[in-house]
Amino acid sequence: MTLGQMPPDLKQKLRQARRLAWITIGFMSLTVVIMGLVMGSSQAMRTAWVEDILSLVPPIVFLIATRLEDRSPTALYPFGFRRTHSIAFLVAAVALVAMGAVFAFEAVMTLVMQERPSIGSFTLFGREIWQGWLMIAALIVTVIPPVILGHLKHELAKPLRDKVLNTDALMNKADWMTALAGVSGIVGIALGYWWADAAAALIISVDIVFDGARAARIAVAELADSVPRALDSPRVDDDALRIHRQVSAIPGVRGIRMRETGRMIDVVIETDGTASIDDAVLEAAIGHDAWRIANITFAVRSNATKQALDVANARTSRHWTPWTALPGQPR
Amino acid sequence: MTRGFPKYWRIAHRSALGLAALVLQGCDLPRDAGGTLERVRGSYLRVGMVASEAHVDAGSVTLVGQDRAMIEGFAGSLNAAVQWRRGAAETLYRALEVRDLDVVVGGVDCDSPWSKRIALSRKVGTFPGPAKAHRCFATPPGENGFLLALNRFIVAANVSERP
Repeated sequence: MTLGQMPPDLKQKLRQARRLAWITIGFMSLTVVIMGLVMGSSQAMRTAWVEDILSLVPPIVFLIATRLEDRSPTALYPFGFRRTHSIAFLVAAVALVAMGAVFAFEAVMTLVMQERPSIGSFTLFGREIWQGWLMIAALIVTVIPPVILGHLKHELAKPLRDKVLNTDALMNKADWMTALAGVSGIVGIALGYWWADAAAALIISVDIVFDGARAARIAVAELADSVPRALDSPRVDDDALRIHRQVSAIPGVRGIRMRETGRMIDVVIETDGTASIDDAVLEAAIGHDAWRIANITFAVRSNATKQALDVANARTSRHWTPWTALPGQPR
Repeated sequence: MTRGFPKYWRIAHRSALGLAALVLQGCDLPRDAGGTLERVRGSYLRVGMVASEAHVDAGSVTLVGQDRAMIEGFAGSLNAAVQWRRGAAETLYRALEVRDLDVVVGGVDCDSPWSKRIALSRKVGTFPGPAKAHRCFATPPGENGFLLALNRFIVAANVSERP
């Protein structure tokens, strides 16, 4: 069994994901440079620029993390570097929250100050045309790349169990949603509703902050050695539930503890010392998910220790022991 | 999230269709947030003239004269009479901001820092002097239909003026 070894098809997918991250960085840096040059003193443009810089964060940390996570352990880092992936996840999630917050702040300020957006006109074939129509056309064009990138990343993130990549996809979703909010805002302005742009931005920013906060919550859980969580919800991960159920059924196993280190799962199996657990048994139990298991530690606990632990746990408010079933059922 | 993708696609699809319909039938768009164009039409146009501007020397009568002809033509195109008001630039811009005025003319710099709080038209001329800074008209913020009507008039007038 190949513990902690990604199958070749997944390695191929990871290479694809890294390519997508590079494409995103190229595309976004181009936007950042162009925006920086034409930005001037407009506050709205400056906000859009800050958002573009923030949306560079997830692909950058993804590339760093995927570079470091497979490095062999060293004397100073005896558990390896898989946790860089968890750290990257938290950084990306916080960037997403920040982006939503910046967007919401700008919208609220516009509404509170009652700033009425003025949009001028330009000459095309001798005719004056409102610039709003041009802006809508430009925004619709900018919607397309993040929709495609976000969709591809999300599809890769599922088999790779990659929460950084998934957060990057959410960032792309935030990008194209803000562009669509811009479109509906300008249509609103054309209809004479000066608050339309800010209102659309505010609604979208709530969605972005919600996505970011959920990701940040999972990231914090991961860094706090929580049980592995699903890709996009704090629900317990299906692989973890399966491993838990199958390993618990092996005779002599008292309990099992799992935590997530990046895309991998770290397993501690508690036995009574009489169980003979060899590779064949484990293979049969967790063969399907074997690539995700970074580490298996066996802890031998006597009946006396178990009882002592039970007593200690009973004193605290939570009556949990490593041999309690996990909440949730695999889907 | 995947769950979200089809739903957003549907919204995007619908809004694109609605948008196309709007552009096709909406020749009176954009509309004003404060209804300036509708109010002015067949009524009167309240114009502020910048009394003294650092860029304009004492003999700037012709400058104002040019603007005056332009404004009177624009008001005429809307069947409106012109109400003139003279004042300091700052005062007039503040009046414009709360839509107590419809246009400010005279020494309005196209690069004015006020452009965040009021709207500026297409350029109507240059300031006298070597710098050749562009002059614009100023309109109330958010009155996009009115601004477009004014811009159309300015561009048409500039084209017909050309020798």
